[in-house]
Amino acid sequence: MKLYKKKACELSRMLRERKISSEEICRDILERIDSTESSTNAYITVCDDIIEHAKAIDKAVAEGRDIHPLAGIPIAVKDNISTKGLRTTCASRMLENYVPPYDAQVITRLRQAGMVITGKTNMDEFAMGSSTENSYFGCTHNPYNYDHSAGGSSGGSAAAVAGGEAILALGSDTGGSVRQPASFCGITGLKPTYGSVSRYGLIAFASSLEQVGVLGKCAADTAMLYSLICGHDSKDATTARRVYSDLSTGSSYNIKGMKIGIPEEYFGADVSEESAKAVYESISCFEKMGAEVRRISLPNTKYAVNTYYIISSAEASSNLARYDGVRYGFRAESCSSLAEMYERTRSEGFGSEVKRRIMLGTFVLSSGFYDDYYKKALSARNMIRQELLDAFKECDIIITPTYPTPALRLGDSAADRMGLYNSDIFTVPANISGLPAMSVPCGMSSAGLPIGMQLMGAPFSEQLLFNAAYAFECFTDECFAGGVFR
Amino acid sequence: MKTDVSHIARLAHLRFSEQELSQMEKDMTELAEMVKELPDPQEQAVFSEDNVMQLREDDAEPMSLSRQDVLANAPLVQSGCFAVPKTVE
Amino acid sequence: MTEYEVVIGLEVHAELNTKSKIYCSCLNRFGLQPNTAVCPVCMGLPGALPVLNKKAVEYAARMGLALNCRINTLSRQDRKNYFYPDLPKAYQISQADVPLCENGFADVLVNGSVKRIRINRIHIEEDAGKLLHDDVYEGSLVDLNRCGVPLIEIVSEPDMRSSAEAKAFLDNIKMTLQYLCISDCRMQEGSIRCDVNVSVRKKGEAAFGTRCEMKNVNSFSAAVRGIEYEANRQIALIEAGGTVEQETRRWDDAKGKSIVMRTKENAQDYRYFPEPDLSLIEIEEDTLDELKRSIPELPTEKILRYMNDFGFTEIEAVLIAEDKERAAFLDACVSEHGSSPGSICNWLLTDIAKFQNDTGRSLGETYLTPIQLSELVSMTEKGVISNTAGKKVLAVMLQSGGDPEEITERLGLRQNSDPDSLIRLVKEVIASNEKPVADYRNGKKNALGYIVGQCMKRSGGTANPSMARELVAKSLE
Repeated sequence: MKLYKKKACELSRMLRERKISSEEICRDILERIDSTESSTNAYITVCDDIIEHAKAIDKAVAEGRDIHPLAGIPIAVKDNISTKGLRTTCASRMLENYVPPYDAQVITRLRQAGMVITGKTNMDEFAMGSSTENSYFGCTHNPYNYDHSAGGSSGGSAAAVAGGEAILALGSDTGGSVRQPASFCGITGLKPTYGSVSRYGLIAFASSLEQVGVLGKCAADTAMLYSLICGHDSKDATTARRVYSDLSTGSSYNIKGMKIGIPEEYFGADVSEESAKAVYESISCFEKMGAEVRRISLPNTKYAVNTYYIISSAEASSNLARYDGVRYGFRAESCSSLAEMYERTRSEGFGSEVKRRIMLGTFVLSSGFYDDYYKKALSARNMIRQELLDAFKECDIIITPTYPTPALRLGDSAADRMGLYNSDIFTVPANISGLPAMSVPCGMSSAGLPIGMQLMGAPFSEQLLFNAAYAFECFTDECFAGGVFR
Repeated sequence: MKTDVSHIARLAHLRFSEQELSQMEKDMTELAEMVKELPDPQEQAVFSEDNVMQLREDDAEPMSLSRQDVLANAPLVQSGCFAVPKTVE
Repeated sequence: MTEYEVVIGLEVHAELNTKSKIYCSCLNRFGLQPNTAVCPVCMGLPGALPVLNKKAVEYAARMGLALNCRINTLSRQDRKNYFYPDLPKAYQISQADVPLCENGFADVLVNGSVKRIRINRIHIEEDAGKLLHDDVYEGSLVDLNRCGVPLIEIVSEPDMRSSAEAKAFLDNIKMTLQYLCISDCRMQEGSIRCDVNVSVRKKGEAAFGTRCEMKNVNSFSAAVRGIEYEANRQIALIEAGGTVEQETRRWDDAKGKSIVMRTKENAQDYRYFPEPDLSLIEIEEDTLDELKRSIPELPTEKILRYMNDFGFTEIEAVLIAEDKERAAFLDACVSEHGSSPGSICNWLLTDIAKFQNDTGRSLGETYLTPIQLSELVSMTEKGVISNTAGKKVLAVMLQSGGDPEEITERLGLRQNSDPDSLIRLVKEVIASNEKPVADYRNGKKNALGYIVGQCMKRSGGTANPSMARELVAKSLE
């Protein structure tokens, strides 16, 4: 069996038992990239020092040094996470040639653990989108079916893991950008609790909503990676000061008595029959495992998408103002005045969706509109969050579909803009409320495309989510997890 | 209130064609509809104490970036500085 | 002709002298090579995040306490969005709705009486970089070193009614910053800057006139000139039948006039919103109590104490108080070493001030200590040395330090009050000054002074002058 088909937890064990070397894993991965990248376009940049890093880890193992369980494991990184000396583009013309002089905090953690970074993955420009079609570097194709979208905005990361071009991946999730591509590509993706992972070095789109997220073939893989990157960071004032237990080995398949909430608002008419069926069947699996299922109602969910678009656009308009052609990135040529330089740099450097959101955000913050738009959205945000927190007084986790449908056909998503936004309805509440949420593969459509379910928990309840996902994998004999090699 | 799309574009330092501007105007109208669907703001505590941050001690660290690093990505450099067209206010 | 009243409000920006910047650990220092004190945070690199400096908050809160403000135990930071090449993130992190300090006042001294100026708010924010120009490049050059230097903005109510009151307020703010040791207050380096709001109204009218904001005011004297210019401009406009438009103007001190920067119609829309990268700032009760205890006697209190308790004139009191070191020096001499305030004040404002002026040294940069100055003063008061000799001793003390007694001995300046040796001295002087002696005897009584002077000269300044005078007069009877 080719090593790229294996899970991180398996490879980690084999590495430490010296059955394989990191170099062998990485050569397999590179071979796989060579053979499939032209079909998937998962990467914007592939590193040229992969083997070098792998050899260094193998040397450490040979010397008998104590290494991290994830040492030597190849990982792909979304191209909105700063990597020192490695081009970081946000899939934008604006940053086409930008090479950060510093590492994001999560990258520092990966490097300290000895993980091997394979490259930077494709995404929607500045993470704005859910199909990876808004990329300056072309769209990413779903490894299950190249005519379909890998989802987005972390589509490159999901396609890389699902297609064997990386073992693990980092993404970012502002409104579903890790979970939705994970569900499209048949893998596991976690958006952690807001404040549990440092955002230092994550190029901001909507600061109050986003977190770096993890993607892997199964619950154990994502748990390992999450355990590596979570924790307080003195460079990010919004990270929580708390002690995190090591979740990399602790998943339990015993979920007897776990209280699972099923919100009726998440199973409406928008949800495709196949997706609803897959999720309902999964819920009955949980019941069979001894979980207690209860119907709940979350009426404020209907405000989530509108709230999300107002807040995320407002923050984006401010976060993306720094791209002005002065210090880094693209600058329009031969500008005769400062005003011209600003305007042409930004108009030529940003793609249309990014400009659209900057405009909406500038509008909602502008004088005379702030109270009616932004303040109203903040109030709705509190209502949505409070309702969810209250729900978690009654249940341990909430299960919903991750997305109303399996992966969309490429080109379909762009056709229906506002329709597409409403499809984010199941994922955005977790961002609005800062809750952890995870997409777990739970079925296949008749067309052979994966279907994912979302597990949501109370703040900092990642352990419960991993337990539930792990239990489900065990119960279903891993028949859904693992990308295209299952 | 009527939205002045050109004014918003000026604030954002973006340039659009007439056609793009009218599309933006439609988007903003749509946004206004979205806002109408939101509930009226509730009276709420502005602040919650659990949202307090830890401050940094006033310790200066040695330069984390050399001037070369600072200027490495700059489109135009002159005399150790970022060069821009003349500023007039 | 109608009488007008000028109404002035001020916004003072002061850089805080913390070791590091407000949101990152870069060095907060003036005068470094361009772009050498910059990191991902203060140069606004994609992905970098701010972390607030505790000292900046404490300094701002102390200023708030000194200006009698309410300190908000929870406050928030907001983004002020605008584009300019010196602002790397294209927003300044500032405070909008809930500043650190609110509703205070400063009591300032204007022509001997106290005037209360209300403070609307004090908030913290980050400074921007600098734009430079050179001969080679026709555009502007951006130096980011100053980005992220902590600032406080002190906003007054429109409580001042003349440029003199405005100047007194500014002086008071500067002194207070210095007393608290929270700002270097170096005007030439731009560590204090102000924006001035001016309106005029007919005397007796209750409503304010339309105000204009004047920016680019780089010194307190420029503020005075700017206010006067602006008031006259507005009055002339109204007298000519026009109306004042609300606008932002730029003060050009060299040309002595202001020009329009922005009219009301194209006023900036800063699109303030809560900074999502930072949570709330909390000042705990304990910290607040501690900060309260750290507030020293403030300038106006000190000036009034000098005038009321020590009998100083307002000019003397201000001259001492406006220099924090000088005031502390005087206070130490008086309260710790029992010197008379008047003598110390006199020495400080004459010989010592002259020495400082000539050498460009602050008091702390001389060798003089309060205990030594007190000793010297006591020696002159007791007649151990003469005033003239005292000046010589002081010069040595300032220049190279040392104990006044020891210096007096070394230089042989101890005052001679021994009658026998003084009688000998007087005899010698009379013998060698026949003409003045004859003049005196012929009725030119003022020749006496000359003869005493000769005695002082011959003794090298050590002769007790009053004894010498007495002996000369007696000898010539």
